[in-house]
Amino acid sequence: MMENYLNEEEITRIIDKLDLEVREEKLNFDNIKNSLNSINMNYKSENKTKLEDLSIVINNKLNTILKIHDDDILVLRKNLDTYISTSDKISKLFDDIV
Amino acid sequence: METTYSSFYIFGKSGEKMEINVGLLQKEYINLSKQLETFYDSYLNIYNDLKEANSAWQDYHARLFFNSVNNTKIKVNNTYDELSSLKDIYLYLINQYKSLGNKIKIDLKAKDEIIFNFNNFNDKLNELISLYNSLDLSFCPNEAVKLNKQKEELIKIKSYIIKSKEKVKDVFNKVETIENEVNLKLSKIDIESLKEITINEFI
Repeated sequence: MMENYLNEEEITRIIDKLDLEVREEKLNFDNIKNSLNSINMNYKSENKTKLEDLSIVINNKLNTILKIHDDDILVLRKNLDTYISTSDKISKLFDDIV
Repeated sequence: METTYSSFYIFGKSGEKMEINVGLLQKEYINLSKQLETFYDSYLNIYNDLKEANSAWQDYHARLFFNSVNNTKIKVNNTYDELSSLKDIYLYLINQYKSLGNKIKIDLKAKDEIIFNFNNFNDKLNELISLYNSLDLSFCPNEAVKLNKQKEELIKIKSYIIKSKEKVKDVFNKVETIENEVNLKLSKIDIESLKEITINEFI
């Protein structure tokens, strides 16, 4: 049988770290999008439409990656909150019994 | 030895031009390369942290969640590869166009029109040279010297026109080759789709 376990301190630390990293990731993705845009503006040829279409698909994918990472943090946070709330309830129950 | 130009413009009456600013493309390429390095570092950091989170949280939802994280990790890595492939295409076209100039404006559809104009001009020069050749200058030696000099000038111009036409043809051919190759490379890039996660599965 699997042990249910969540190290609150460690998960809190990781959430804070991830928050910062995902914020930096957003800046990075914005820079990538701007760069692709700038390249497309300086290359006007019959291949321009293909390049622009590719850029749109990539932009959407980068947005999805960001959303996924935001949601990863949210999942950790919600589970952390659940564990904290559960352990608080158990603590109270013990206090009541005692 | 190839002559390079800071910029060249070749277009005809139709007016639809390709425009390429190689200098700015190079600048943005360097920027994009740096951003992709940051992307990769960021990807490593995020997934290392999520791996650590896996050691700090274990239950049924954690198992489902970290399974999903591992799948997404592969797809994010693939995104990096996709962007790298696109970056390589930019490098190819920068390296190819660099040899032609820094700023390029060319109307590929004007190729036939321009070559026709060169040939037309060359024909007219040939007519003039023929006229000079047909002159009887035996009775006017002084004028003959001047006229022969003029004829020599026309022959030099004709030679220049022929060389220029060949250079222009080469440029058109090179640009067509580059664009066909870029088109082929772009066709080979396939961006994998990626779906958002459903949070409720993991809480």
